[in-house]
Amino acid sequence: MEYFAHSQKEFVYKYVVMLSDVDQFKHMSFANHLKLMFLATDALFVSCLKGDFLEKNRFKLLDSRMQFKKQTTAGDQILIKINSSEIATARFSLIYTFIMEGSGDLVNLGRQTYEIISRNGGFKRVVSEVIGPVLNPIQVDENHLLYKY
Amino acid sequence: MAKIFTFENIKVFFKHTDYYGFVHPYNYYEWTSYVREAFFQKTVPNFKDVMCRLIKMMTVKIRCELFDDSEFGDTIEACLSVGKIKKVSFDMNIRFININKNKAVCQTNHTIVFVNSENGKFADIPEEMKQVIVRYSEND
Repeated sequence: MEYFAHSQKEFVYKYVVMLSDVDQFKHMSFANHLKLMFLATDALFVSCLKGDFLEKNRFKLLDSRMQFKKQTTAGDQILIKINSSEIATARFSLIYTFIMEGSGDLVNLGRQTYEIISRNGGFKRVVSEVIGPVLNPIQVDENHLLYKY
Repeated sequence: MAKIFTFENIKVFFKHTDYYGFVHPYNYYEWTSYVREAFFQKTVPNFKDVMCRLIKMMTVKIRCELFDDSEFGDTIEACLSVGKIKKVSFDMNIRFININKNKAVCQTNHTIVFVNSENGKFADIPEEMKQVIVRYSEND
């Protein structure tokens, strides 16, 4: 049996739900939850944007999905925990666990799959060479996780 | 044969583009919410009244697959159809067609569930909406 969870690392992004995020039903819309997923992704990627990285490479989203477990409203403090998964030669996945800070209530489960291509789109980059130092420390085996993303 | 609801009013502006000049994937999620609301407004005459009842329409899951890029100035048409219909939930599928490229660039699939806002229990799909969605069901 593996007790990996005790030493598991993750990238954490915090967001406080603003009044402008909620609609007339007083909840943050599903689209804004997804915007938050992209914000967290950008925060993770920013750590590897050194030099002319963006002039040479492009993160290309292939697929993304989200399950909504709990509604949120203005003032809620959400922690978005990101782990990497299924790091292959030319693509990788990120999995997202949204929880309410304090109570720990599960808010959303998200998943995105990317490939990195050269800026001109001509060829796929080797993921481990381009972003390995960012993804490897937060990598998990999804077969051992509590949730299905 | 199932009907398809078409939403033709999507134009790509600079606001929708990313660092590289392509439509940021997030926009397809936002357009998904616009398309489904436009669909209900167009097809359910008292949709606003239905939403004022003690019932909440909640998205429980969504998936987005991207097939190709779109750019500033492109026109995108969204084609909505209804997937599986259950007692308290149903699926909606939206295919985004780039008119300039004449090809599908994205597809989103999402599931909507209805919940009684007083007791938090699942609620039946409102009858007015059910009468409409069966006509747009791919499983017809």
